[in-house]
Amino acid sequence: MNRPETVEAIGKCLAEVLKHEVTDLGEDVRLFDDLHLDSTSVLELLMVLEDNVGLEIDPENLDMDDFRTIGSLADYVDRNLALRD
Amino acid sequence: MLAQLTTLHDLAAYAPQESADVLDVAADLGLSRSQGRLFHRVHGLDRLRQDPDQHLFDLLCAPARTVVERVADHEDIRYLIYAHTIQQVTPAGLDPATRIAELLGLPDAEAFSLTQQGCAGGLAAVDAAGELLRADGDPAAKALVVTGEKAFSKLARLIDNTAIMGEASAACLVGIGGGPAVVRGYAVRTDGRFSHGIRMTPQAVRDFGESYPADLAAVIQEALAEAATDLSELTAVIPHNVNRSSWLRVIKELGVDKQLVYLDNIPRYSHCFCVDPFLNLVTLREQGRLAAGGRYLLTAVGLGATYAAMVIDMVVEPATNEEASCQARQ
Repeated sequence: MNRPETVEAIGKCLAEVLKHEVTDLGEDVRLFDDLHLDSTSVLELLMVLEDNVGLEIDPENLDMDDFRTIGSLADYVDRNLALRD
Repeated sequence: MLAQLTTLHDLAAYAPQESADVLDVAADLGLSRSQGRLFHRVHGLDRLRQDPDQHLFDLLCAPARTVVERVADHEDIRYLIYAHTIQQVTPAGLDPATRIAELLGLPDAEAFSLTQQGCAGGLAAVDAAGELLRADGDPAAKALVVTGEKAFSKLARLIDNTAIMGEASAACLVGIGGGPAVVRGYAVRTDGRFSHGIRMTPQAVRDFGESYPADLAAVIQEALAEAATDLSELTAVIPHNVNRSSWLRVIKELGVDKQLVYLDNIPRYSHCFCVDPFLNLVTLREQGRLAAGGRYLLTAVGLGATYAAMVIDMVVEPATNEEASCQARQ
């Protein structure tokens, strides 16, 4: 996936977890402060990403800094998928 | 003096034969696929035991009978303490502790329940048993601590985003001297900010989650200090089976190696109310991992929120001492 595709995929997964569409998918949008995710719903988002884009997380080594913004999450997704290629 | 310390004389645990996949249980509870997978992938749950047709008292008496049958004189058992998480586990008018004592053939034992500390209540019951026996002063007297509950409804079964409860039970015979395990320290703290338990506000849930590792670590350190020891002298930490991810955070807070904390029963049994530390102790015993001279820390957290930790020393190797034998029918 290229970057816009990654961000779009995150947007679809966010909509599934939040149960509403997310219209602003700017990379500086903050998951906790702007979209009101919490530490649990972020994990649920990762589960949806695993299902939808083939992400495979390591539950033993999660760094919440990766989930600060849509951009940092996109970096995490891209890194994770690159490792699997 | 050793004779005045609380001692653990015998221990047995039981879990129903019927085993369920936690993903199926999550679906039955109405959770989404991603919420169920979160329990499996992140929280480390896999299977749990349950038997919807088994009566509460059959669940409780299975390990308790094993222990009672090994006591030569049943009149030595002066107290029966049933520690439970859910405050109302039987219909009004039926006192479960008294009923358990009757079923076990202990009509003269003073029987009562201990609640209000959530899943930390089992360790509180061991501490209370020791205090009662010391106050009585009879070195032969014993108390039987019984734990175990039915996950009988969604409310009883699910702690949102944290745990799915399984069914198991345990019985622990407590004395004040002469047992194979000696209680060296016990610490407990209740944080009333979280007293609404499963009905906490979203903000309180967040605050509880954020303070949990540091607050539990502090109580663990307090119990270690009372036992005049530290983390470096522990053979193992024997925790409650709430979930793996919470324990990874506590492990990071404590700064210990993951291998020190026994987490293997989380995917086997999930969280079984007050039973977990006792069940895990029995599993370690069956695996030959309770060594004479070993120092262990039992710990549990109850919604409400109560943090508890207890340091025990194995004075003798349980496998070589019949009185100290721990059996599980798992």
